[in-house]
Amino acid sequence: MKTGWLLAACAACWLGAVAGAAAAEHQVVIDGMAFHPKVVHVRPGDTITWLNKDMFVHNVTAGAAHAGSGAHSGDLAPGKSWRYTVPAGGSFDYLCSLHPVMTGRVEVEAGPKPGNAR
Amino acid sequence: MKKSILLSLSSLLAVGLSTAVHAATPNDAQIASIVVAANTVDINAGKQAESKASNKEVRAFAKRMVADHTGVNQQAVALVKKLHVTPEANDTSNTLTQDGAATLAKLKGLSGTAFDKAYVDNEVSYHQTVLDALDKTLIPSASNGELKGLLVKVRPAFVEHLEHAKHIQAQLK
Repeated sequence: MKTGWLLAACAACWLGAVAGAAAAEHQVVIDGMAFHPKVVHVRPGDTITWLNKDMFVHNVTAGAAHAGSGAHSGDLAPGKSWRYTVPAGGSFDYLCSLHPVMTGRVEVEAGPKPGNAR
Repeated sequence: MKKSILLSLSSLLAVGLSTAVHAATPNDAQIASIVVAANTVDINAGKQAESKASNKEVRAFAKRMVADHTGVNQQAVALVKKLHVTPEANDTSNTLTQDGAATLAKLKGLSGTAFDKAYVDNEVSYHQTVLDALDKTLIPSASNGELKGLLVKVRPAFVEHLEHAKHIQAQLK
């Protein structure tokens, strides 16, 4: 009985590790009134962290057509960051609603990226 | 009549700052004074527009101008303190301040859409002129590396503000 529990626990750990390894971390730096990179390529389950290195307050706001994506950071003071887990769903454009000239895009890809070891 | 007021408002600041462009090379203390004066002019214009503008987008833009330019001034003041530089008033900073006051007085006499258009037209001219001054005079003339770095760092904000103002200007036409 104990062996069975141990096996199940190990299997759960292994599965968790695999799932963890599959989710990638991405960073978008906000600086000089722009998002770097402007387009971030991700897969569902990945996380994106926007880091505000600029001297102004900014935010990350999904375009009106993708308001349901949950990508709405609220205002990020200089030095602050915001982490977002990409849900299953389509790609979307976003902007800083305070400085609407600043735009970016989250490109959600279904398959593995070419040359990306996952 | 309205057109001539708009034209004169738009050209007021341009004349003041282009004087800076063609004036003798300013030193760091004078550059600090010009930076603070230029930002203060736009903060005051923004505060006026926050209360007077009728268009929601114009009010939001004005609020952003107040916040961003206040941020730039705070950074500039902190830097000159750190560098032990005392901002030195000069013809350019004085002209900027006087022209800014004249623009406020003229805008005060307008209301509704006429105010919105005049304010936004002035913002387009202002940001274009400050950008030219940054590129042609202020950044090349700054001798202290940190001061030059601050000017380079704030430049994209003037580009964004200019594009934003142009976008609103096109919508108001």
